[in-house]
Amino acid sequence: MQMKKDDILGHECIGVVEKVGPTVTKVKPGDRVVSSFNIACGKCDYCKKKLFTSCEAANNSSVMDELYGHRIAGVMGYSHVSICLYLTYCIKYSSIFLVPWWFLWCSSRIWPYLVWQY
Amino acid sequence: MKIPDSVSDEKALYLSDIVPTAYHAVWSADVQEGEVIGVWGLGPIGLNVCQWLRNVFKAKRIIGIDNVPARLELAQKHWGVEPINFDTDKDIVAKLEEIVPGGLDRSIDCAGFRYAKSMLHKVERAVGLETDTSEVLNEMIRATKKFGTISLIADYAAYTNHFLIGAIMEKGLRLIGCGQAPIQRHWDQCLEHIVKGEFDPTIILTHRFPLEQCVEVYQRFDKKEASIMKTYINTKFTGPAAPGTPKLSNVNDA
Repeated sequence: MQMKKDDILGHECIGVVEKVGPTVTKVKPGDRVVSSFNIACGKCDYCKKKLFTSCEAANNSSVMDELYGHRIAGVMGYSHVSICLYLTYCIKYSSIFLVPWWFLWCSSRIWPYLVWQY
Repeated sequence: MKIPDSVSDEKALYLSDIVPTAYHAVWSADVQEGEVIGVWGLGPIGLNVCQWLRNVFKAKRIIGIDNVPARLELAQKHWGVEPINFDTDKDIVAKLEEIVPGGLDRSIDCAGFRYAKSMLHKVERAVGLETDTSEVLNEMIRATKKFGTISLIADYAAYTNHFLIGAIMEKGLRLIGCGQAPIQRHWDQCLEHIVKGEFDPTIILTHRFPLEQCVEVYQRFDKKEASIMKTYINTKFTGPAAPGTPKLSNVNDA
């Protein structure tokens, strides 16, 4: 879940279509378009109900299955959610062994905030 | 989605997320005409929620809660939002009871889990006893009228302590998680309101910066400096700025 080279951050974007694949019917090269932040297949049961952010085909990570019971759809620019990943590990392998690491990890995140506040 | 020629890049861009997401929050809360709505957090989503409430869903009164004066002033000026600054009004629930006796019809959370106010929650988050603060949630629970609705569009990560679950049951509150907004569901509707001039995404647009300065932009936005509300990032492909939108500037001079 680490960021990789060439990852694209952010997810609000606009542009002009350069090329389309053979199955694309709604836009053509030259069209000015805006993209949604979420990724959806348009075919699964959730997409058919217009619940596109619950698409079952657009997220290959199982992190949310562990923490939330189910996973939601993929979201552009937010594919690496470290807080959920760490919590999932803690819950999955819940043992006292992890507690100091959990504490250190939280402290390292929150201390700068506390120092800045006071 | 394809953008009609009559809609500028600046008005179309935010159909990616914040315009339909804010619409989804109001739609999920099932806001009815003539109601009194509280909006916690006036970032880009909260401000867009105010515009939807005023111009399209026809709320009677909108109460906005934040601590950034520029955001409170903008919401008041454009959409008649009644501002509450939580830095000066420490007891939000008492203040709300004073100006809206009996409670809000619906409350919308656009603030989220990160903004712990009390030392207790700051400590609990720091040592990992909770990931999310329940303070905003509890303010909404106490300030919303009986059988009213609370909807969450702000993000929450995992667990919280001191959640006032008793009032959810006893007051018959509807607690709605909006979910990440299914953008494509609301796209056509949102675009139609933009084309008709009923919704203007560029009102909250305050700055335009070059792509190369994104790191500094995030840092200054995070610290709520320079009154940055929403930015437009120029790339080498960006065309001329639409009339009335911010000109390209250097983030260090903003």
